[in-house]
Amino acid sequence: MNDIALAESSAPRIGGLTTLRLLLRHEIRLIWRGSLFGGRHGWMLLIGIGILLHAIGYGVALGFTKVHLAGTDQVLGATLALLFVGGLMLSQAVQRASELLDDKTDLGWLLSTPVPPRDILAVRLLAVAGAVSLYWLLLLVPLADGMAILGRRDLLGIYPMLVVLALLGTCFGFAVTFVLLRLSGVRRTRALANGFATVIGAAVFLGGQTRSLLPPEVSDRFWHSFAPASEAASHGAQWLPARALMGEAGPLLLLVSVAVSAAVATSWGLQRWFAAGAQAVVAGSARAGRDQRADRRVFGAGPRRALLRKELLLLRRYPGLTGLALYYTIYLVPAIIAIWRGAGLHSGGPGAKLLGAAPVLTAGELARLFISVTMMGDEAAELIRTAPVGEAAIRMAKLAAASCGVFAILAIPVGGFSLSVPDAVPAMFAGVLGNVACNLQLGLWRPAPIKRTDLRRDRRGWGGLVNVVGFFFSAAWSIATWQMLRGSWLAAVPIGFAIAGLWLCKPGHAEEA
Amino acid sequence: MTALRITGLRKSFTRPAVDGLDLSVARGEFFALLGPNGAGKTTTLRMIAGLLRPDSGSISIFGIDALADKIAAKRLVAWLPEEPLLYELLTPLEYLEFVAGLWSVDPGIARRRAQEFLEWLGLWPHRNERCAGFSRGMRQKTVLAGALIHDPKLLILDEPLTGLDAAAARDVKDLLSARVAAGASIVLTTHILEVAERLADRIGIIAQGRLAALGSLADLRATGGAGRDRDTLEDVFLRLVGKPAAAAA
Repeated sequence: MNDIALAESSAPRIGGLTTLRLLLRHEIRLIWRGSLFGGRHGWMLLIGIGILLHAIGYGVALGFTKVHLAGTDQVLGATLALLFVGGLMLSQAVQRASELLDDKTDLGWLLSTPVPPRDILAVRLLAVAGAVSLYWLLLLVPLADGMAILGRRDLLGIYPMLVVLALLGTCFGFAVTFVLLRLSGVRRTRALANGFATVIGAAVFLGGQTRSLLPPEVSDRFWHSFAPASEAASHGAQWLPARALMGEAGPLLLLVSVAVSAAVATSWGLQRWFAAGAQAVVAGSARAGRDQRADRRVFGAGPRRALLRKELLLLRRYPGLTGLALYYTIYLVPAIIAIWRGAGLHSGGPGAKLLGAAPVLTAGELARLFISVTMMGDEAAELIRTAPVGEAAIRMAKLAAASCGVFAILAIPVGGFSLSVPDAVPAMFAGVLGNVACNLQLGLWRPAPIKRTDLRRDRRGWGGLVNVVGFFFSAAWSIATWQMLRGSWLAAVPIGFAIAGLWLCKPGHAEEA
Repeated sequence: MTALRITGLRKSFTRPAVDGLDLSVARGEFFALLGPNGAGKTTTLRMIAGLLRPDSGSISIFGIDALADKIAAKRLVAWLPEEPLLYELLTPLEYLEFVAGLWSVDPGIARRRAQEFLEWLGLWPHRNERCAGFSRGMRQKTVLAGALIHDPKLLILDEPLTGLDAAAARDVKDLLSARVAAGASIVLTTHILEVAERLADRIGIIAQGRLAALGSLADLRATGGAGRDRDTLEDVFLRLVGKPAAAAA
C-alpha cells in the first residue's frame, strides 16, 4: 500500500453524520454570531428575553384556561392554527430557499470541497427550517410552557409540530425553487419564487383575518362547516396533525417520521439540481442581463444627484423588492377593515378620520425595508467614502431614496383618504412623517438584514430583531396618530416611547469606529 | 512638487499596524510600497484614501492637509482596493457615470472618457451588461476605469493586478504607465515584485509598520554591499524583510 492509500484508509470518511455535524455547527455558528445574541453577553440576553416571554406566555395561558371548547372544536382550532402557521412558514421557506440563489460566497467554496452536495444541501435545508421556525418558537413555546404549567402538558406537542411544519415547508420550498431553477434560470426563479412566496403569505394572512374581513357570524359559520361531525370523525386522517399538536404520541411519531423522511429524500433527490444550480449562481452565468435602455445616460453631474440616482436605480433593480413591499403593505388591509368596523364607519359614523392611523403603520414598515435595502445593498460603500462627498450627503441620498419608495407606494391611498376626510390630514401626516423618520433613522443605525448574506455585512449585529424594534415604533406612532385623531393628549405617550426607544438604538462610539 | 507627504503616521488596532511612517512621493512618480503580509501596506493606503483616521501623524496631498480638509484632498485622489468594489446591479457604463458624478466631472467629458477606457480595456462590448455576471478580471478593469475617470492626480492602488490574466495585466500596466507619463503620481502595493521592478521609480519596503528601506532599485541593491548589483528585487526584498517563515516567527 502506498503512502496516499495508507493516509486515505486512516482518514475519517468524508460525508455522513460527521460531516453533517461539522457543517451544521459551522452554519449555526454563522447564524448565532450574526444575531443579536452573538455578542459577549449573548447567552444572558437570551435567558433574559426567554424569562420575559415566558412571563407573557403564562399570562396569555391563564386567559386561555377560561375558554372551554368541545373536543371537535379543539381539533378544528388546532388544525386551523397549524394551517395558518404552516402556510406562513411555507411562504418564508420558499423565500429563503430562493435566497440561496444570491449566495455566491461560502456556497461556491463548500461545493469545491470533497463534501457531497447532498450534505451541503441537507445542512442548508436544516438551517432554513431553523430560521423559519425560530420566530414561531419564540412566540408559541412560552405559551405552550405556560399551558403545560397550568396542567395542559399535552400541548407540549407544539415543540415537535413546529419542527415538523418547518421541515415540510422547507422541503417544499427547496423543491419549488430548484424545479423553477431548472425550468427558467436563476434570474427568473428568484422573481417567481418571491412572487409565489408573497401570494402564499398574503393568502394565509388574509385567511387568518376572516373575523376582521367578514362579519363574525359569517366567518364562524364558514369555518365550522369544516369541523369534524363527531368525536369519532375527528380521528380521521385529515385530523392527524391536530391530534399530534395536542400531544397524541402515535400521530406525533408518524408526522415526525414523515418530516425527517421528506428532509432526507429532498437532500438525496435534489442534490444534483442543487449542485448545478449553485454552480450557475457562483459563475453568475445566468445573470448578465442587458440593460434594455442601452447607452441611456443615467447619472448627471454633481455628487448629490449621482448618489440619489444610484440609490433609486439600485432600489428599482433590487431582486424581489416588489414582493417584499407587498408583504409589508398586505398587513394594512385587515387593519383598515378592523378600524373601519370598530369605528362604525360602514354606517357613516363620525369616526372616519380614525382610519388615518392605518397608513402610519405601513409607512414605517416600508421605510425600514427601503432604507435597509439601500444600506445592505451598498456593495461599494467604501468607494463612496473615498469620494469628495460629505457623510451627510451620502446619508441624505439614502434617506431621500427610501422616502421616495415609501411615498410612491402610499401616495394614492393617502391622497385619496386626505381628499375624502380633510380633518384627518394634519394628524395623519404628522404620524406618517414621524414614523417614517423614526424607522429611517433606525435603518441607518441598524439596517435589517434582507437576505442571508446580509448577516455577514450586519456588523452592528442586531439581525432580524431590528424588525421587531421597528414594528414597535410603527405601532407606537399608529397609536399616537389614533389618539391625535381623537384629540387626546395621550398621543404624547407612545411618541415619547418611540423616541426614547430610538435613542437606545443609537450605536455607541466603539461601534461607529 | 510633492504629490504625497506622510509624516510620523501611526495606526494601532490590537497591535501597531503602522508605526511612525515617513514617506514622500513626487509628482509624476511611480512609487511601489512592498512588504510581507500584515506589514501595514493596506492600512497605510486606507489612511491616505481617507478611509481610516490615523492615531497620529500627518498626510499631505499636493500640499493639502488630508486630515483637516478631507474633501479637497479626496478630489485629487483615486483609490483602487484589492477587492473590486462594484455595484452588481449597474452596468459598467452606469458605474463609470456614477463615479464621474461623485467627482463632479462634466457628463459629456465623463461619457467620452468612459468610452475611451472601456474600449482600451476591452469592455466596450459589455458596456450595457450588469456587472453581476462579470469575471474577476472584468470587475477589476471596470473598477480601474472608475478610478481613472475623474483624472486623479494621485492614484492609490492596492494589488491592482490580482486575479488578472496576462493580457489584462499588460493592459493595466500600460494604462498606469501612460498615467504617470501624463503627470499623475501612483502609489502601488503588490506582491508581484516583477511589476515593482519594471514600473516603479522608487520602492519602499515596509515591515512591521516601519519603513525598512527606500530608494530606487539600484539604491536598494546597494544596501547589500559590494557585489550585489545583479540582485533581483526579490533577493533584496528577502534580504531586508527575511523569508516569510522567519518573518512570521
